[in-house]
Amino acid sequence: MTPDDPKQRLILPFFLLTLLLILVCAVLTLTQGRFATGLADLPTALLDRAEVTDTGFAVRQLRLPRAVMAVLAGAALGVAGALMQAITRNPLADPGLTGVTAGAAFAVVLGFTLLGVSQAGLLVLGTVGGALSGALTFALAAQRGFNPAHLILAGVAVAAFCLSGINVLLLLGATSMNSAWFWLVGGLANRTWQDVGHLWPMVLPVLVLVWLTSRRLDLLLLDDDTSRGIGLHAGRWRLIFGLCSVVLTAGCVATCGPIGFIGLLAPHVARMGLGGAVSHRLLIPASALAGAAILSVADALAASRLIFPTEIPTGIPAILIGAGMFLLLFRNGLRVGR
Amino acid sequence: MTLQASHLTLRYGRRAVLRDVGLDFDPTGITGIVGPNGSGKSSLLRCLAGLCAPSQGSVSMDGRAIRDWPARKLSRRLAFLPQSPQAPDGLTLRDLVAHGRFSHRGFFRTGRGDQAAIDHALEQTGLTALAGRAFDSLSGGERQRGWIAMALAQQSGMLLLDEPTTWLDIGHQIEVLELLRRLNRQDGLGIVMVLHDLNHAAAYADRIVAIKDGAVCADGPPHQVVVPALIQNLFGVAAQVVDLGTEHAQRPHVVVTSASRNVAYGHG
Repeated sequence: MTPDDPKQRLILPFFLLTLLLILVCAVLTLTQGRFATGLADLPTALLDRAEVTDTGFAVRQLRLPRAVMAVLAGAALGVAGALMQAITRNPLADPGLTGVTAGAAFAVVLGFTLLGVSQAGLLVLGTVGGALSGALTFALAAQRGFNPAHLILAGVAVAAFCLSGINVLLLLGATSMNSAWFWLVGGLANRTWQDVGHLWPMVLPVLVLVWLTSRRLDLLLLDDDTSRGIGLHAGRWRLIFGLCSVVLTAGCVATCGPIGFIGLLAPHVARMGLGGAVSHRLLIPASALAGAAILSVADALAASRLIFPTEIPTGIPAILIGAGMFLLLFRNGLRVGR
Repeated sequence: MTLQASHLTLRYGRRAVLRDVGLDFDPTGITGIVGPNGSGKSSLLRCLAGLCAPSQGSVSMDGRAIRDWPARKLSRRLAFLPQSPQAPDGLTLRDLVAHGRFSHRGFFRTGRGDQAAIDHALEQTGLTALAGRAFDSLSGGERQRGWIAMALAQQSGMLLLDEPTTWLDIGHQIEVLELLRRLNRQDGLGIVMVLHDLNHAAAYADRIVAIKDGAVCADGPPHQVVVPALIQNLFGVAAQVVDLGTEHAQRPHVVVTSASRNVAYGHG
């Protein structure tokens, strides 16, 4: 990108706008809920740990971790989506393509229905289940250097297998069906600092690693022989980035349930906001911000009762926003960009 | 710098694509690899570039097996362009050429001399004025020169190309071949390329290696290799060879006289 490229001028506005959106949504999430908290009371409620009030508890222990989760999970899903779109060279790829979402969901539902695992156990179970099914997809596609078509086919097969497993479990374990269904919509309600503590060690190191090696994502968009000619083992890096995506997604699904569309959408929103195809050096942080902003908006809508009369699972407004924006983007044509 | 194949054999399943190929490549000249479709000439080039693992034998550069070279280190010495490289949308020509700098770049910083190398590569290929254009908006000839510029930005000593004139009209074919000759004569870039046009090979290569059924069947300067008997043997057509050379150099030129093919088709 040359310095006088018009895209350069869009970078700062895009980053500021998404940050502002995230902040506004965080304030909404922190102040709205079963009982509203005045904006003026927010600083005390947030900072004054000595004050043991209902408001302080709600803000610090219920709403703040939720707002943090929206940012963490949104960023993770956004980057996971950008990774999958690059390694499959397919603009319609989303993080669930590796089978990781279905695998994590299967593991959690298994924990719910048959094993009766604790909340903390479900986090571990979901993460491990997601990681295993993602790894299985890559193992199935290993023969052909993880070539995009094989990856997609293997992922579809693994996901279908896990989804049918979920159905079987739901039919068998009728007693806990309600909570399982609720979880399967995906949501951030009742997320605690425990969830944040589970998610950030998985997300932050991976995001840093991906960003530092992001130039390779640009090269993966070339054909494999050409990228090898300029010094990149395409198969090896598709595996590394794919496993990064698996870790990010497994952590998100284990903590927040399978929230759809964000991983697919965020990279496209980022590209649109930045005025077209950009290098992954820029696309990765932009996708993280876009994902965080979308999930923050969705969760603020779900939690605040401003539009819906009662609190609803985050997955529902996430899908509504996602599908709506996707149709909008679709009119402009989707591309992987470089 | 040395690049050599010794006892190189490559099998896909039970089918031998290359059999016991032994070749030494001159790092200063232009070598043209010719042969009928399916003869294994592209496979040979891919083996030379380290892209396929030989079933037997080896390819080595500077005495070290090509597959043992780390990819980035190798690409600083040896550049490779496949037959139809694919570029994603939304890339400018300059972005594409910058990809050639990948192996020179560090973890954080852009490599020293990156911009100068990119500018130089664009200049060598006559593309400086088009640098900011979208790559997919360029003509076929410009795109091929763009790929060559990307390879030049690697600043390697040798360049391997697989049929660099495919899909180009005759004017652009000559343009690309002239460019490669200039890069070889002026900048000392060693070139090994697969060519499907025997006359191009005769006109631009210092040495021609003819491949048939995965084995070397002729190897030498054009006037020794490009003779009617070889053309009959390789392609199964009768041809006359006329000399279009000057007093300085011979330049054989093939004129096909009979289209009747009377050899068995090679497999594949």
